[in-house]
Amino acid sequence: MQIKVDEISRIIRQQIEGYERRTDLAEVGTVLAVGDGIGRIYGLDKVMAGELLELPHGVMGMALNLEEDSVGAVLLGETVRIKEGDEVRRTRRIMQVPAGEALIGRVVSALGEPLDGKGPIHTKTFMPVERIAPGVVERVPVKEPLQTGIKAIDSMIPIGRGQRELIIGDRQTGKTAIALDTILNQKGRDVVCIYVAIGQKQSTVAQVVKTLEEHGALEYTIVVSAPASAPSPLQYLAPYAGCAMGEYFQFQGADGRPAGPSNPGRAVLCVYDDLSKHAAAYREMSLLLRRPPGREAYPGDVFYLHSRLLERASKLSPENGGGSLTALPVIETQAGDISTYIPTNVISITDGQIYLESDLFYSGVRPAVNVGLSVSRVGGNAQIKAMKQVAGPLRLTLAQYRELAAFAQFGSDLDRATQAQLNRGRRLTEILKQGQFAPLPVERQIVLIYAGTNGYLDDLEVADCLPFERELYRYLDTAGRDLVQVIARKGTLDDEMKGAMKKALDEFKAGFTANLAASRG
Amino acid sequence: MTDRTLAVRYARALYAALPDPSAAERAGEFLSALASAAAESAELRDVLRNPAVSRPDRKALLQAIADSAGAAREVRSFLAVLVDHGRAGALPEIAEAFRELKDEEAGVVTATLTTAFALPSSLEERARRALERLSGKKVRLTCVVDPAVLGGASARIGSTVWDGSLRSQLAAVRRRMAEE
Repeated sequence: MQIKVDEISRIIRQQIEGYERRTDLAEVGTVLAVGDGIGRIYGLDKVMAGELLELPHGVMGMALNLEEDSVGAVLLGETVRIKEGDEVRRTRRIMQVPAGEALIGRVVSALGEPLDGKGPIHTKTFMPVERIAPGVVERVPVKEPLQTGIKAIDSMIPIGRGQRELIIGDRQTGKTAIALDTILNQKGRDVVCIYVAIGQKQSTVAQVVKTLEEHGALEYTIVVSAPASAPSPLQYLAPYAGCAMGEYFQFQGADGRPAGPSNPGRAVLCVYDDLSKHAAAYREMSLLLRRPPGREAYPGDVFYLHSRLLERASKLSPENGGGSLTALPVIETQAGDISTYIPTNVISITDGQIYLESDLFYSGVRPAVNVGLSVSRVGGNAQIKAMKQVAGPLRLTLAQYRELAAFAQFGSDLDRATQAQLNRGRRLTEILKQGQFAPLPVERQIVLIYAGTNGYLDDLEVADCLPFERELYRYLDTAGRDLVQVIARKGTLDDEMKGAMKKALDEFKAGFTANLAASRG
Repeated sequence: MTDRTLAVRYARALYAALPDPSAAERAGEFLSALASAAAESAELRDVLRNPAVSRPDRKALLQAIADSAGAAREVRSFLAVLVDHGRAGALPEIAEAFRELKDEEAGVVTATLTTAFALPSSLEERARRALERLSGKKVRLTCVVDPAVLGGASARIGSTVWDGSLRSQLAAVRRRMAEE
């Protein structure tokens, strides 16, 4: 192909001739001082709080402190090139990020710029980073389950679509693992997942991306990364940016037009990993902006910081498209202390918490969920009926077991009933253990928990519980396939179903014990 | 920035102490003259800033300058207070803040007009009129020559800029072509 030079100059000439001459009206200020990624600006009388500012060398800023004779702004980008006296322009735009289908499967920064080297992202829409949460009228109660695929959680601490469930625990207790398992389990369920990494090591983020990729979960996931090396304003923005990207899918139908009764909005899952580091980044930013420090040097509005983020999790009414945004914030505690400032704040904002303990983790209970301290305030509404039926006794039995286990440590003689309860508890704890990246369909969970709470494991050795579980799934894949299908279809356990389940379990167990006896000679 | 806050405070106090606008006008002229004299004369700067000059000496010198210029009683007391508070060094900023305050009260704004070459006075007057129409206030025009503007002009009042310069139009053309 040949391009004629005079052709090109003709096009350019046309463009210049067609260029409309007009005076450009702008509002400007001047930089008084810069340092630590913060700029003080003189002028800009009419600037809005949170407005995007334009500085030389492609640096952007966000106006945060509006004072009597100056504006405090955080600078995003190469701040070293900004000097005193530089011109700052208003953009009249509130901070916003790109949103749309093109982001799915990508790793982006808090400003929506690609970080994965897969080329530019072309989106048509932008969503404001800060947005008022949907009001009471637009919402409906949370009642649709969001299956995590983790037995201990789906049975006892169910999460619903539109809920905010906190994952809290010390370092190295498997907080991210639970969030990741939940994302993996959304495969094929039309849930858009957003994983926001705040203040984490780049290597950890790379690991997460690799895991998602290997399990085919990246094709419905957006990863927003503001690593520890990113300046604190970006870390502060990241969860809001992730939430804004999620809201696009919640409020827009599959065709990109606003959702409504005939154009359903999508379900979104947002993981904020983790909000303790987010609070620390916000503290850094606030102190540099000279906002007065409060408890533990956090600024006074650190509660509002998290409440306005988590309030944006919602389940919309059918008139508004019925989309949902589920939030799974993560908080890291120090030495298991959940009564410090940030953890208590976030616990009080969320609709429940999953409490992970290092003691449990090291004694082999994985996921290390402390069933006593974990709650879900949405509770049984977010479970299918069959799960609610089998899981009811589970929680109670485990609570009694924990109490007795503490007693039994004194080693005195125990009566028969107590021993039976201890036995049952030990076996139930055993079957709630689960490997990483192995989410389980809810029907299988139901059959297994039914077997556990109805004494099918009581006469087995604790060590045989795991083989029992494994063999049971194999059985459910073959001879018991009908049973699983019926549970999935009906969603509830009536007497007829219970009879069928009992019959299947009796049949399976007879075979299992016979095999066990044979293999032991 | 703290200097500015401070200057605004002193300027406001002096303005409130003066009996009428004409006195404020005279005081403003005197302060501006003093400030520009300080900018030119190293000796006067010494009087204002140098810690080696004792306070009584500094006060006496300033009073002498004020007497020779025939400044009002309030202005003389103001200079004395300034010396007592050890803020004589901030006089140029205070003079600037005082002028802004006076302008604000009188409904006058300062506009800066940047052009590529010096304008004839007839054009300057036309620009002033146009800016008065735009802002709805009386305009005091300062003209700046900056060859980098290339052509056209850009005017600035406070933080609002009307940019009709060739430089910004060329930048806009370049941006638009880069986008397409």
